Amino acid sequence: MSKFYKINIITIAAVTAIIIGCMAFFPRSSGISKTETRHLATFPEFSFESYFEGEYTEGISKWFSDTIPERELILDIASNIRELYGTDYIAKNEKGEDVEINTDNVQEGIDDERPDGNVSDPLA
Amino acid sequence: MVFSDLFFVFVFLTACFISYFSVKSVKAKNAVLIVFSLLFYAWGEPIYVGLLIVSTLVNYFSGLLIEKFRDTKKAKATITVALIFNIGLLLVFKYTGFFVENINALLGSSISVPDIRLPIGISFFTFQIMSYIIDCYWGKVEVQRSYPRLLLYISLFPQLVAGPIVRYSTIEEEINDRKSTAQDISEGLTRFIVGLAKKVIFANGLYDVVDQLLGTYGGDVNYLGATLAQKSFVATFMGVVCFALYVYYDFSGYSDMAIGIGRIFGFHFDENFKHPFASKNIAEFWQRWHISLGSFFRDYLLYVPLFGKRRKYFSLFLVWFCTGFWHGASWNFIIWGLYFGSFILIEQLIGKKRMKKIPIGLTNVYALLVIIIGFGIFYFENLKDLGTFFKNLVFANGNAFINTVDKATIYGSIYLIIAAAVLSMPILPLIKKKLALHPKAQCVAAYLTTASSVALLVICTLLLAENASNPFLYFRF
Repeated sequence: MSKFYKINIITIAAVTAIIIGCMAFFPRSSGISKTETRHLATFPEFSFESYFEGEYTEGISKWFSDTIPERELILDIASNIRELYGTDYIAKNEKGEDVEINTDNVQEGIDDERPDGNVSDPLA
Repeated sequence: MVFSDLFFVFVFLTACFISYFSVKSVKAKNAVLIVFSLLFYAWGEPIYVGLLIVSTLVNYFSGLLIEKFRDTKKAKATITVALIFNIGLLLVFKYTGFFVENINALLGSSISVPDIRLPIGISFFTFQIMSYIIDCYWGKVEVQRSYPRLLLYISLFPQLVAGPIVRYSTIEEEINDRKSTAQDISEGLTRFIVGLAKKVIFANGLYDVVDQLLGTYGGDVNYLGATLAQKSFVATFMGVVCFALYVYYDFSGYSDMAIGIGRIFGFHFDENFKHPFASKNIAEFWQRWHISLGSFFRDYLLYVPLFGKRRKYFSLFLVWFCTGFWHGASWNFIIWGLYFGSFILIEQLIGKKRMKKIPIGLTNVYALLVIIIGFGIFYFENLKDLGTFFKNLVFANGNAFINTVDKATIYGSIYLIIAAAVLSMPILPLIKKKLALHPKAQCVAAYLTTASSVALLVICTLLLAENASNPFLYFRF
C-alpha cells in the first residue's frame, strides 16, 4: 500500500501545482463580472484601521477569488455543476400548459401576489 | 480565514506545507506551525489574537503553579482561579448580552445591552485550554513547561476556530515528537479533500435549499411574501431535514479538514463524527455527533465528584443545559440541549435491555424523528418562530401539505438531497471492510480514491470561485 500512498500524494500535489500555476501565470480577471453584474474586487489598500477591523485581510481573500483567471468561464462551469444537483419541476398553469417552475425567476401566468392571503397552492 | 476558500487552500495551506516540510527538526516544525497558526487566527481576529496569546500565558503559569503546589490547597486555589478566568472569558464575550436582555425582561429594567463581538473560536479554544489545566490538576498529563509548545497546542490552526475540541492528552506526545509518514500525508490529503467537498458541494448546496424552504420568500420567486406560518408542511419538515443534513456536512466537513491537515503534520486527532444519523437512540446519537464536545462534558462535568451518584438527574440536567447553552446565547439552544437530555433520561428509565427489544428499524425511525425535530429547535432562534414551526408540523396554521414552489425547490436539488442522506450513512466504511478481504480490489480502490480526490479538488475549486460567503456554521460558536 505504501506505493499507493506515494502515488496519491504525488498526484494530488501535481494537480494542486497545476492549479496554482494557472492562478499565478495566467492573466487575472478584472473589471466587471457579466455573470454577477458587479465590479470585481481590487487588491485592498492597507490602512491600520482597515487591518484592525479585519477588512484588509478579508479584502485580500475576496480579491484572490474574484480575480482568478477565466473567472466567467469557471462560473459558467460551476453553474453547470450545480444544475446536476436536481431537476426542473414542470407544472401546469390555469390554461393547462406546461410551466417550468424555477424558484429563481418570476413565472408567467402565475399570480405574483396572493391578495386574499390564501395559503393554498396557486397552481392547484 | 475559512478553510473553504481559494486563498486558504492554494496560498496559505500550500505555503504552510512547503515551510513545514522544508525544515527537519520537530522544534523548527513547531515554530512554523505557531507562526502560521497565529497568522491564521490574526487574519480574522487581528486584535483578539492577543487574547489567545494572553489566555494561553495565564494557563501556562497556572499549570506551572499547580505543579509547584501539587497536593496542597494552593494548587486547588490555582485551578479555581484558572477556571474562573477561562469560563469568565467565555461568559463575558459570549453571554453578557444574553444575561442583560434576560435581566431586563425579568425585572423590567432597561440596562443597555453591550455590543461585544464574539472572538472566533472562543468556545473551542477555551474548552481546549480547560482540558489542559484540569488534566494537569488531576495529574493525567505532565505540565507543559515550554510556553511555545502550549501555545502550539492551543493555537494549532486546523482545530483552532471550529474544533474538534482536541484534548491535550491526545497530542501531548506528538507535540514533542512526531513523524509524518507517507500514509499520514496521503490519508490526510484525501481526508482534507473529502471534508472540503462535504462543505463546498453538500453543505453549501443544502443551505440554499434550507434558505428557500424555511426562509421568507421574497423578491424574484413566484410566491411572494409567504411568512413562516404560510409554509406548507413539506416545506417545514423538509426544510429542517435539509438543515440537519446541512449542519452535519458543514460541521463534519470542517472536522474532516481539521483532522486531515493535522494528520499531514503528524498529529492524530480523535474522530468528531461517526455517522450520527445511523443512531438507534439519542444516547447513541450523542456518542456519534460532535463527539469531542459530548466527551468533554462527560469527563469534566458529569462525573465531577461535586454531584455524586445521588444527584444523577441534576448532573444530567446540567450537562444538557450546558451542551445547549454552549451552542449559543439564546433560549432555543438551551431548549435544544434539554430536549435531547429529556430523551436520554427517558431512554435511561426504559433501560438498555428493553430498548434492545424494540426492532432496530423502529428505533432508527424514532431516533431520526427526534433528531430532525431537534434541528428545528436549533434553527429557530426566535421562540415565536419556533412555536410556528411546531404548529406547521400539525397543520395548525391551515398549512397546505405541499406547494408548487416547494416541489420545485426540492426537485431542484433532489439528487443532492438524496446523495446527502445516503452518504451520511456508514456506506463507505462498509465497502472498505469488504475490500479489506480482497487485495486486488484494494488496488483498484486505491486508484479510484486518488481519481476521486483529484476530481473533488477540481470541482471544489470551480465552485469556490463564486466567492459567495460560506462561513462554517460552527464559527458562530
